[in-house]
Amino acid sequence: MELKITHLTKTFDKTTAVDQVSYTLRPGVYGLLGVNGAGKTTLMRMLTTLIKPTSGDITWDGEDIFQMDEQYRKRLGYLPQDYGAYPEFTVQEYLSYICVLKGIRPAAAGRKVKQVMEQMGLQKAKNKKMKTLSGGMKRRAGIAQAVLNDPEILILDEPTAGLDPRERIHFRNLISEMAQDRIVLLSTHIVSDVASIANEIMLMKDGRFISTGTVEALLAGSPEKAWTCRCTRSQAADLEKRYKVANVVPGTNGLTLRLLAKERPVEDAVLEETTLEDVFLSYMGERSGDADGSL
Amino acid sequence: MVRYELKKALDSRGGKVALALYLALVILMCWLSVGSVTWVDDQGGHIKGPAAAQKLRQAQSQWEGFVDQELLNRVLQENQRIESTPQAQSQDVTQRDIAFGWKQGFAPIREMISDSYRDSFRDYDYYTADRLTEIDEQTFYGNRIRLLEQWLYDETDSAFTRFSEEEKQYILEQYRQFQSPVYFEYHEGWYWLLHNTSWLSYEILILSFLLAGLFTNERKWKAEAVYLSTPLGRKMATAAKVKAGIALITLLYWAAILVYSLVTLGCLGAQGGGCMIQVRSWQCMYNLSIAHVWVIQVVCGYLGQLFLGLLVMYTAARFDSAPLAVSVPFLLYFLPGFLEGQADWLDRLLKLGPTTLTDGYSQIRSFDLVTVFGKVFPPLQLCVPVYLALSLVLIPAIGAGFRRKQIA
Repeated sequence: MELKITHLTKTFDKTTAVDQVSYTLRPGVYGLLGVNGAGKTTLMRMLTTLIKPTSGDITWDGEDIFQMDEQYRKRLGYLPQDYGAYPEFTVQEYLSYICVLKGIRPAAAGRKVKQVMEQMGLQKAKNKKMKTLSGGMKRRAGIAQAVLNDPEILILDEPTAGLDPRERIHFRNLISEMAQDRIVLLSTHIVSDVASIANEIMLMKDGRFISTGTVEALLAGSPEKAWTCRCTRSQAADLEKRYKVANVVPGTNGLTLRLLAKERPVEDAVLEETTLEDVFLSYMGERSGDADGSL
Repeated sequence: MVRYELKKALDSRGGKVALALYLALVILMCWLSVGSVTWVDDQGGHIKGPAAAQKLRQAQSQWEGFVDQELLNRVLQENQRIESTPQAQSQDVTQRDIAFGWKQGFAPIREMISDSYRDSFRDYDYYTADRLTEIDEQTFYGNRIRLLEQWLYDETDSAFTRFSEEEKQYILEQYRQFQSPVYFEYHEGWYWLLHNTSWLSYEILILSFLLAGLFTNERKWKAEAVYLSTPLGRKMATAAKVKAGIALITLLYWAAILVYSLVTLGCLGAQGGGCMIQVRSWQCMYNLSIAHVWVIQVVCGYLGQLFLGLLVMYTAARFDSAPLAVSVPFLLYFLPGFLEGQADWLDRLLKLGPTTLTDGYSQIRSFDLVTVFGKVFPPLQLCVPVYLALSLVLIPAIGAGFRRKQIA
């Protein structure tokens, strides 16, 4: 089981969304981290055959996935970022319909729908229409449809977007359970979603993988270290201009800053253990002030 | 899969509104047809609907038979008798209505006489029959051809240049093949059934919202990424969309025809379908019974609806736009009205538009003809194979357009 990406590029008019990306995925959980607009969704849409690459190849066990067509999609489960469903279908009808689309035989489909609904905690909502489900329940239905065919490749694009912390923990646990003997590619811009469950992480920026590896390898290879220091508000303003600031904690006698720097930024700064969030900010730092800076 | 596609289309709010409108259209057609038959009673009062049809049937049963010398004489004599009554001579509308009421049994034959004895092909005077003192069967039927020939070869009339010599001969030949005498019996059920069927041609304007949705709802509901990434989404499921579209067009069309026909013929009577169309459209060049014309109307209508429906689906699948797709039948229905009369070649082309199929009754009553390689055809005769072939081409083209869809 090997999903191989070679020099994959996708351009839209004059914009290059994915630029010469190469990587090989084998069974395990892969976290694709990047700010919005990094090219994660475009990459995932190519991996799901929804769009064709401008150049480069994607192969499954050596065979081009676009040539494999239906045979490749049989192995695939996909939850898109902007996931929607048929508003007038009940949860059960919706999942039964997806079984039909996935070519699951009717005899097996009923059993599979029941099993997946139990696994995702959807049993009580099985007769509810999709349009009446809460955001969290809808995401559960989204994951449920993705795993109906026991996919060898499970691609989840921002599965935790818009969910509360309790739901996010639930999803993390679900993904960990499902990760046996399959490739799970999980895209997010929330670092904590992948830090504890991903075997490997790809940091994506401007259409390229800027760093890849295990969490440990990424931490070891971080270009900057994490430091904390106490300072006044005016000192803080000066430090924020010079360094990437991972955290600001207001106190009674000023502020406590968590800074990223190659060398000790101020004399009384204390070296801290670097986290994946620090690594992420270190690479994506210049955009930490925008909406993606949810670190 | 087809079942799910139908559920998607019909369960949505737009689908329910479209179905309600469709039902309203069928009810309107039934109401128009059933209310079309009027009976004027002995007091000059008017009644409509099944009761009127019942009285008219009784009155016309006395005039049933071949419209030959004997029947023509009887009609003329009775008409003269009524015309000489004080009621017919009166200036009072109610009195004149009473006199008209006495003529209802033979009114269609009386109108055929006015039609036959008109001064020229283009002129029609409702009162011509009232001025005749004698009538001759041979002249009565012979006038059709005589007036037609005068019209076609009158250099001062636009018909002279409108038709080629081949077309003139075609029309004359149709007239010559007309078999007289025609048979007359009560036929109001069939006549109004035929008359109002063309309303059903607007069905596609309503259905297009459902058909376009089959190919655009996934995007609207943000469900297309999942749909197209499934093994069967691009092939079998897309074929199911096309099948669902054809099923919607077919089932709704024929269900409407069935309901409308049962209601109309049930309320107004089912006899008289075998009467020639000339009993009501004296100048019609095609020698067909009313029931035959109706069969042509509904079969051609179905083909027209099918083609337009497939075109809506193709547009929706190809351009991923429901507004564009639903505007296609609107344009095809209403644009010819604006373009007509701009140029001769354009007029000829418009005769071959798909909406020609949806109003077969008007086509049959018209003198529109098309000449291809020196051979003359009624537009319907050309449109049927052309749009059948185009429909067969469109079916795989719809699927192909949707299957290749990419989601950026």
